[in-house]
Amino acid sequence: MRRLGLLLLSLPLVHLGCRKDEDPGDDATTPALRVGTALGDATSAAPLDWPGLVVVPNLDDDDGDEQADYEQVLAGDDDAATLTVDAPSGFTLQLSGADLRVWHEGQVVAEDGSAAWTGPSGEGLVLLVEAGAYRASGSLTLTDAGDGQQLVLPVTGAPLILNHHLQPSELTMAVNFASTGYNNSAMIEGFEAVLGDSFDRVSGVKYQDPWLQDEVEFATASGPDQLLDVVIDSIRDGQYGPGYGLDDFAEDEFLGDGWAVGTWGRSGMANSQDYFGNLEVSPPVTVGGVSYPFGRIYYGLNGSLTPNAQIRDFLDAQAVQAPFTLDVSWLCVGHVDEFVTTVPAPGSRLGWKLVYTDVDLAWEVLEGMDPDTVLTRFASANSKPWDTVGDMLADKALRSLNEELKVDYLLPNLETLKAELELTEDDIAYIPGLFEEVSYCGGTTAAAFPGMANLIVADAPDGTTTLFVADPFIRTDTEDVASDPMAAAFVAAMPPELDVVFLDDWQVYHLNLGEVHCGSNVVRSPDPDLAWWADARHLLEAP
Amino acid sequence: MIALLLSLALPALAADWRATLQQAVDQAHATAPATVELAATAQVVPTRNGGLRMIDVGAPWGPVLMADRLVHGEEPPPVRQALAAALVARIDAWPEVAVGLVQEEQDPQVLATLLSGLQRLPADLALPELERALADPQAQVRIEAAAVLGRHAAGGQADQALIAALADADPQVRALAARALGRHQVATAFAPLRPLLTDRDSQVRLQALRALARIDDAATRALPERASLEADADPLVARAAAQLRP
Repeated sequence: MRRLGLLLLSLPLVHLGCRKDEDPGDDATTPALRVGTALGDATSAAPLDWPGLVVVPNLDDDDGDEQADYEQVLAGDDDAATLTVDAPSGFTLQLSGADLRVWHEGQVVAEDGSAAWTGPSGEGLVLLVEAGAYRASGSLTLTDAGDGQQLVLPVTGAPLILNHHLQPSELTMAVNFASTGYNNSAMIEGFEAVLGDSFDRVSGVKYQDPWLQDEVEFATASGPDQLLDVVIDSIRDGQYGPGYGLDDFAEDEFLGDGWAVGTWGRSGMANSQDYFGNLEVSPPVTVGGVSYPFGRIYYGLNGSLTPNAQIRDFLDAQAVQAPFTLDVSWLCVGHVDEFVTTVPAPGSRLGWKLVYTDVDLAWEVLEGMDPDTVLTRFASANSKPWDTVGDMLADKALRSLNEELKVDYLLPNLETLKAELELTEDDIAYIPGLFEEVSYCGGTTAAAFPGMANLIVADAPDGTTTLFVADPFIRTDTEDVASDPMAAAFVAAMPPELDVVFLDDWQVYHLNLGEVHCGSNVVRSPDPDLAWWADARHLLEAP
Repeated sequence: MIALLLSLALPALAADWRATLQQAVDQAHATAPATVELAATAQVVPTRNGGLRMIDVGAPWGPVLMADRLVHGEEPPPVRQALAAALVARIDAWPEVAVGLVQEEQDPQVLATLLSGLQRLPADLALPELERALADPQAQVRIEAAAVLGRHAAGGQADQALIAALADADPQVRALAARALGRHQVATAFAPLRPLLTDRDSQVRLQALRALARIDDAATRALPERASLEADADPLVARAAAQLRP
């Protein structure tokens, strides 16, 4: 786990307002028993209100044995929250609350329901309080051995918070496929050219599974002086089942000191809605006067097929990112990242824009082109039925399908997004996109040309925020994206501060029903100016 | 009598489409040997939804070479399904081959995939095959047939078969048949669609409601069942019903 000494100094303690019953004129009765936490000191006369002592769960793996540290002996002081005790007359301590324990000099001295522990007298005694679960909740009761006064200190476990696109990127990654006739070299090289060392080629030889977005979701849990990076490992369990594909990616590449891996749901029981292309987070919003400083989670439902109950319940229980749902029943794969995303928009009302697929805009772009324009990439593919722009325009089934999708799904989903994120039209950037029905998928659809909403937001080494977007190939010269009116329409809709890099994802991703975002992933840093115990206090119920 | 006539006619058709396919394959060998070699050894790769896809070897010869492999190869069913998926988008250039493949295919998954290739064929070739598929014993074949009839320009001509499919045991077939009837605005389907508003499957209720609205918006808004659906347990159905308030 990372120790964040600087974070403590930058905390907006003035927001906390959590000390109660403090009476500065009551010097004569100042209790002798005093505790110190990262958020302040407390006595029986002036206790700390919620959250009291904040603890980040000790679920990383310092010793690399693939077991969470909480299951073992405490390895280091950064794995627990520090509590200092001044008790000139000595004290007893009792803990209530599951998934919590207290350490002193390498020994567990208190667990939920254990007998009171008698602590030594003196000042500056250091206790370590360790949590084994997100949002663990409990309290410590310290009783002064001299005057019998009690001090009750709340203990609050950190929630798990998923990353969103306004957080700085640390590392972007994609699985590298290099075989002849089937490779993603153009996409990999496109990422590397911009991101340099902050891009990681994941071994395709080892994993043989390109869908990195579907396998893992990155998140963090933080405290005043602790940070835990977390990989949520999907029950997708690799492309070919448990033990294959990217199944072991999270454990192989991330589990270790400072990194935890968690799975919610039963292995082998996944449906496509359990994949994490179907789990996204908006940047910060205020909805109905309620601020969501860490954004809101959204995922798709496909009739009775949903992300499994365990992960839904877990995400609901974290509370700070209040999940809502969209309808993805019209999509063959069925992920929210197939038609909507968010991008930073400095200077705009929210600081970001919702990027939303607009089928009418796609037709508008096509209608503005010479119908004889040969779509070279499509014409050379046996899996697409259109050789020219005119072929697409003349495809009545394609047009009626997209009109139906617009009315039945895209507009209702947009209304949901507007309501749940309290968006105005100015907050939305419409981009062109069309969908086609996919064979043997029950009349459901996928992107007809590479879907540009399925993008990655990452920061170049010079700090420029860059969008990595699927090249739509609506043009003749496949090498010249500048001549592509569909790509131009996308760029025109984006905030001018952002760089846009189009990547060729045709062979490995688009034709296999995914795009750039589906095949990559990003580790991000938490916003250093936000503290959930202060900024999201209103979203978390004090016990 | 009809069965006898069909049994007599089918071998002739089979011989014809196989000859057409062989001609196209010969032409591919003569003009695009690199594509032929690629098609013979093309890898199968998994798609994002768990299916398999044959690597795209390129138009115009890719589809016939895949069809040739499908006919002559002894490959496992998942690979045959991937071969079928690789040819359906452009097999309309060889319509008799498309029909022949559909008529002879025994594997339900491969057949379901091949049905997509009928989408761009003329009605006189495509509709009889799709109507026959709509009565197939395998649900996955009926599902794909109902889906393809929904997007075939002349799918409304299969109205009787689609209306019959509203009583299918499989809810996906019922939902897709309802959607097809709505897309083609088959007026005679209004009455048979109405009972599906109380179907036990929410997708069926949703597609039936939308189909009814496409056929007769005003009449659908006035239906008492529509008002009840505003309280449907499925929020999508409830929302669609609310949007149709008179």
